[in-house]
Amino acid sequence: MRAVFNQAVQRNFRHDLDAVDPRITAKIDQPFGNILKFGKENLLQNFVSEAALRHVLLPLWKLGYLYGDDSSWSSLCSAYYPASLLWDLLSYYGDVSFETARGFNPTWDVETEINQDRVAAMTAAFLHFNKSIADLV
Amino acid sequence: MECLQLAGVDERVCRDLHRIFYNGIPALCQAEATEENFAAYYKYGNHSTVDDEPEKTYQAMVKDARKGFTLLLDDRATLLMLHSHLTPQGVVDLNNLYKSPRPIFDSSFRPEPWCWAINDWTSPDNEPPLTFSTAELEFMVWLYNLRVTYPNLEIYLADDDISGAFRLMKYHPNLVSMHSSRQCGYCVVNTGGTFGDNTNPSNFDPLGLGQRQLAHYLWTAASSAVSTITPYLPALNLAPLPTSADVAAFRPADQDTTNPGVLSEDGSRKPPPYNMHVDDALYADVGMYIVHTICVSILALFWLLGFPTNPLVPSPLSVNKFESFYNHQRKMVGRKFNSRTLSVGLLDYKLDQLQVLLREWLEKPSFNLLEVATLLGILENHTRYARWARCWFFTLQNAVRFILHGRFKIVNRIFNRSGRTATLCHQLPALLANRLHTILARDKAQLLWSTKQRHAVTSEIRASLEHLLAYTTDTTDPWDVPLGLIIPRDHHLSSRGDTSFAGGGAYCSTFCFWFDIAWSPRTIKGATRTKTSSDEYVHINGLEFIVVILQLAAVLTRLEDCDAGISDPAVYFPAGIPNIPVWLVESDNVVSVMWERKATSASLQRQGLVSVCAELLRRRHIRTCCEHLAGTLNVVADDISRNDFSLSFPARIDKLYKVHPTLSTLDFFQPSPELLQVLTLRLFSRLNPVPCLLPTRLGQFLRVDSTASVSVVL
Repeated sequence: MRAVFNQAVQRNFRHDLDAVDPRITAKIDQPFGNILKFGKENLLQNFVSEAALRHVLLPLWKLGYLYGDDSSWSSLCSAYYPASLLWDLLSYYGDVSFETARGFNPTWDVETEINQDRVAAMTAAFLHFNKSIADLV
Repeated sequence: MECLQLAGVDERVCRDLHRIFYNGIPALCQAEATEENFAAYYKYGNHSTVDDEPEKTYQAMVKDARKGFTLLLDDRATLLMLHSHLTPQGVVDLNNLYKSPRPIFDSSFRPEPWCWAINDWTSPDNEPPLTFSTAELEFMVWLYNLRVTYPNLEIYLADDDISGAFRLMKYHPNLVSMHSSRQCGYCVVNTGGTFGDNTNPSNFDPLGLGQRQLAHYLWTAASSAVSTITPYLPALNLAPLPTSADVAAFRPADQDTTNPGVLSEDGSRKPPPYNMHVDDALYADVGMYIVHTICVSILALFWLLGFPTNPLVPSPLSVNKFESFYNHQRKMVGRKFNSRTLSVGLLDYKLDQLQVLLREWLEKPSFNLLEVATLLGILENHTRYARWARCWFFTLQNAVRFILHGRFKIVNRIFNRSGRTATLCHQLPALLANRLHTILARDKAQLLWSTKQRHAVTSEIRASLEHLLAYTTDTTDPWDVPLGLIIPRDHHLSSRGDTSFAGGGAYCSTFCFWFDIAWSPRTIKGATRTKTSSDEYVHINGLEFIVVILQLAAVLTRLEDCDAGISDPAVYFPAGIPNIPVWLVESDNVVSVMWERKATSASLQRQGLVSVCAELLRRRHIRTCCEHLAGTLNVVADDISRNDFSLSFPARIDKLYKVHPTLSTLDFFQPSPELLQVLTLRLFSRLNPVPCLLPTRLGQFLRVDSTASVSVVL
């Protein structure tokens, strides 16, 4: 085993992973025991749900799929409900700044209603992080 | 973490806390969900109770969101979220007069039998062990020990509460989207622990233990706790000192090896144990220490969860629930504690609620299953420590049992006819076949309890309710139980008894008595030659229990004789009569032991006997402790019970004294004919809605020899 998975192979594997998605090695390299890095990736705490078409729509769109082709998008939206949901979300929150979603809520002790600005910022961040709550938090 | 270790916090607790603070909860969840699973939950939505209480649901959602326990997104994000699982929301206590509705996160619910809920993916077995269930009892032990050390000082009761409790723990980022739901037009993602996951109580336990152990250390080490914590608290006020008349009325506590007091061997004061009942820290102390004790508890909480120095972060202490006035009485874990009477009892507002409920019941012509079960639950909670009162609502227990029994037969017939089992077998994949029985049991339970059928309030039930109302109205502090009757203590006296089909007997070396009792021909026939369905049938367990009851009667008679000056208490208690004596009774019959411990039984015949035992316990404060003894060790009592009862009394005791000469040095206890009559009546009668009337005199002690002629037959 050691002969096959030697250090050079491991280095190459990391290089390949970085090429696919740099977040993978970034997560693996998170320092353990630092309070600022809560929730390091590990094998004991994970949850995966089966992938579906609606989950890949946003990455496709971000990669330029049907980019600028409004008529194709509207056809997709009429044929596939989640696509229209995504379109709506992008229209409403695509340009919303989500800086305020970060950190503590400054009005936590006086709020009596849902803070709509915070909901908008959180949804914008959700879109930014490719609909992954794990990446968002 | 290093500070916790230096403070002597358990290594396991430190490890768990490290994992909770740095990795999140739960400790183990390796789950994978299918698209069908998500679709089933998406389609189901929330429980119907959410629609019944939209305002309450909304307010709860606002509270969680503003405190940062949840993230709120546009509802349209729900369907698009990666690795998402939706959990139905519900509201409980909707139609409860005395409780406000409370939202719940139903992590166990499966919309279809084959679905996977969060609680199917996680298990408390993989999480830290639960320890808080004993907190209430341990607090009582501490209170009792304080009184042992400080018999004449006021003991102040105190508590504090962690704000948000489970919500303070954060899920591992990978598991946050698994805790999603849809509420009031928003997609709600829980970052903080929910009230519904089966792993959350276990994960909260290390926080409680950590606070407790840290406070234990800080009580000795942090001399500046008061000045450190005072800026974060409202002014702490102590009630004025008690008068000398108040002090004279303090109930004393008996010192023994189990409860030696609160001083260490070197004479220094022990720190309070700071028992945690989930998120409530319970403690008590005398005037000279109480302020330090309170501040140390809060200092430990702040050390663990952070000082409230940042105005943007809510304090981990429940400031709005913090009661800063301290005296000898306090509401703790839903009960009223009193350090002067050293007792625990019913809160005034709960007593009022109970009386209103009982009055409503007395005007009702009929009831349904849910109503009677609710009343029964309330009564069982209030009489948790006053076990002698449980027999007062045997009629209600019997009604529930009777209705459930009848409905169970109907439900079984419905299930057999509907082919539900076959349908479920078909629906469930082979991998989930082991779920079949739990699903069937749940479905049956749902059918059992979903009845609207009304049942008449019988005369027996009405008599029970009238008695309960009269007692709770006429008595000051009803069901107020001294702690000496609840906590574990060393026994002052012990006795052993046994029964055969011919007779029974027991002896007590401490109180210097023994007795035997012959069964009458009717009793022997009932026990040996009668069908179990007959009213005349007598089970051997009933006879075993009669011997336990007679031992209790003998012990009480001896104590009453001491009170009346008939017997010399110094003979039995050289160190003085304890305030509440502890009697250890050993029996080789497991069922009798259980009846005595729980003061309840499912059988009508045994309920009658249990109620006699309960009335005896009300007669005088005596802590009973019934233990099982292996038959092979119960030699003397066994020989008494297996004596030849056809012999005359002198011949019988002569035979016994030859084998066990020590018995000849003891007095013979002769139960009064009235007591034997009560026992006979209860043995052969059925429904007993009101407590039995005990005779003024339970029996007498005789010096017997071979010339005496005593006959005790039941």
